[in-house]
Amino acid sequence: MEEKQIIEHLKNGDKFIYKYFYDQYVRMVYGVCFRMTSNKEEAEDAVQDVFIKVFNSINSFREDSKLSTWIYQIAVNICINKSRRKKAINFLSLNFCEDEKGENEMAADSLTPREEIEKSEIQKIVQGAINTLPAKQKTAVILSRYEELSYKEISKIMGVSLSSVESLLFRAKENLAKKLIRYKEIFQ
Amino acid sequence: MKHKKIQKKFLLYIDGDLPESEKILIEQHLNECVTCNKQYEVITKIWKEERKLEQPLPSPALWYDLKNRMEKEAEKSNPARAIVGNAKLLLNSVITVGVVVFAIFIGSKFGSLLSPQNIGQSVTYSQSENNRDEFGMSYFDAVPPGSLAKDVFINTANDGGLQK
Repeated sequence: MEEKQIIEHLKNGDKFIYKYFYDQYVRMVYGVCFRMTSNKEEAEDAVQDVFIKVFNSINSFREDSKLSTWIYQIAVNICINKSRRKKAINFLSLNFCEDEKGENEMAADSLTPREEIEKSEIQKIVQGAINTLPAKQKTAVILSRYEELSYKEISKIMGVSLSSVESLLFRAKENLAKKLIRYKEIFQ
Repeated sequence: MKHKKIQKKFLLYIDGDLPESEKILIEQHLNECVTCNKQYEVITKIWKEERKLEQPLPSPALWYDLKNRMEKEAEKSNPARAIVGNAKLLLNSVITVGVVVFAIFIGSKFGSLLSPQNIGQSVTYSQSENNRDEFGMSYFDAVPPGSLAKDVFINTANDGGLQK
């Protein structure tokens, strides 16, 4: 089914299209939410919020961009709001510990124990470093590195100019390099 | 200071985000500096390996969770459905309360008949009634008519006890 037809069915409120739509976009939405939250449960909660928002406000989608861009926009906003709320709650409960539970929850494949440890270490290190970035830099890195989106698409999703995206990614990579350099002992 | 400035650019260099002039500067430095070269190797490994790792997958139950949530939210936003739902809940509660009240009423009305004392009396009474019917006795007969025990009963009654 083409994107236009999906949008039409969604706008008509045809409920049979929901499952099809979900199957088409869930991997994409979950990927962003997981990278943004670094936690499986929080990511799944955010995915539900994203789909409900899409179904409820599809009529506000003006079709001047790709449907995926609009969905990314919703996903990013929901995750940023959730993260802000979480930070506020952590601050109020005086709990400043980073929840990195989700970082080890990726599916295991056939690796040797040493490779497995190394793989999970690498994931922890990079995800941990990305999590410490300011929200905008973090979003730009996730959309560019993991979703492989163009600067133009990222600028639409984040509502900033192309040069801002370039600058955000530049600064994000400088910050990440400074953090990753510290781990040189582990892999030597 | 120069080393830190170079190291800061490593990820940009790996991803090919630097202009040609800066690329040349970094390559020159990496050829000269052993420490930075080692660090460059490590950071390249971390950055490239992590990129290759597979994307996490959502739980298969996620669709059902979403579906349930949407149904609940639709119920909340649809007053007619909410009214029907509430009416069903109210009806169920009324039926439950009615059954409990009826059970209490039945219990208080007929429960005393089922107490152990009453059960014992009624059984005794009905047993002796059966015995009398079986042997053709009247209500005041102590032993069946024509029974040999009649004389013994009369004698013992007169003597004030059973005697040999």
